[in-house]
Amino acid sequence: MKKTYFISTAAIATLGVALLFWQPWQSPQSHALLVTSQAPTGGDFTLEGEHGKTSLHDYAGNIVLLYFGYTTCPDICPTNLSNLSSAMRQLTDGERAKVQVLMISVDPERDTIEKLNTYLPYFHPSFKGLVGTPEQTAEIAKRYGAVYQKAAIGEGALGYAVDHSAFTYLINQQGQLVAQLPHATTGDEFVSAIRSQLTLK
Amino acid sequence: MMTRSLLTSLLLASSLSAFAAVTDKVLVSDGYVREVPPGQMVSAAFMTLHNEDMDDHKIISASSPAAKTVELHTHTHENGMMKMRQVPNINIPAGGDALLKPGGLHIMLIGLTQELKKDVPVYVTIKYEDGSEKALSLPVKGMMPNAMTAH
Ligand SMILES: [Cu+2]
Repeated sequence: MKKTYFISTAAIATLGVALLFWQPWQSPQSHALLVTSQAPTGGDFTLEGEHGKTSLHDYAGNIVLLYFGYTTCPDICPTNLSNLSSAMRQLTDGERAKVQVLMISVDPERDTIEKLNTYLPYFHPSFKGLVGTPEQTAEIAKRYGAVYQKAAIGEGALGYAVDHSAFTYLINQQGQLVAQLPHATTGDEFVSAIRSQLTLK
Repeated sequence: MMTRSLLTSLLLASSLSAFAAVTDKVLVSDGYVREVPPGQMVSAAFMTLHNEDMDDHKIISASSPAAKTVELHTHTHENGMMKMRQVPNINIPAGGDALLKPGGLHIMLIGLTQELKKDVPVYVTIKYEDGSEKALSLPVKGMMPNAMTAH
């Protein structure tokens, strides 16, 4: 009698736990599921920057490290940006002059160019932010293989967060996408990746 | 009077099914709160929790005067995206550790009510499943420690 009671309690508890983790209403929308299987093509783009319209080709001759993030990102973006900052500080002055870190906001509804330019220099004075319309942002993200979606979290105290892929895209001095470096790539690894491109020239 | 307080403590002890509160069995170390860029209104507390007990224990909530809302969060990596989600509790396995670290479990401070400065500690109180609470005074750490420990 007592044993049965315990078993059913356990069963209910298991079901409860299963329900907690099975949240169909939070499943990503179909567009966000397009983690593309073919290699992303990258390419040129134009968005709003500190001094108005800014394009990737404005940085021709530089190695560009492109990151898709947002300023209220609590953890993932700061980790990658601080590692990029560490890489910048490890480079020689000559090398650093040929490297540009750009962050495209995946939260164009809340991020303004002013916000980005208050946020990014904390990591490194040379980092630049870019912001576009939601449509422009989505189009560029798709070409680079970046995915993101708004997400409600907890009681909603955060407003919303943005789930996003956290790659850093390495673009060579000719503006071609050459590599995507995963989340939490270390400063040392960024340095090697940058140097591998610089020496090719 | 004596008898009464003795009775009370006996009752208390039996109701807890053990003689000590969870706060006495879980050791907290390496705790810190991450410094934030200007204008950032959220931060997170990270720490290592070691459970010396033979039973699992759980953090069920946390609070801090430094934030309007404090939530327990984790990150999962799904469909190519890093997703941050609230969790109902943080389990600290018997004899084991729970690691709260960037990219994983964390105590999220939402709506900061004070500027986070390196020399000013942040108070965070964690509550365990038995209702016992541990008040922590955590240092604020800059975001660049990764760079320093990379070597
Ligand atoms: Cu969080």
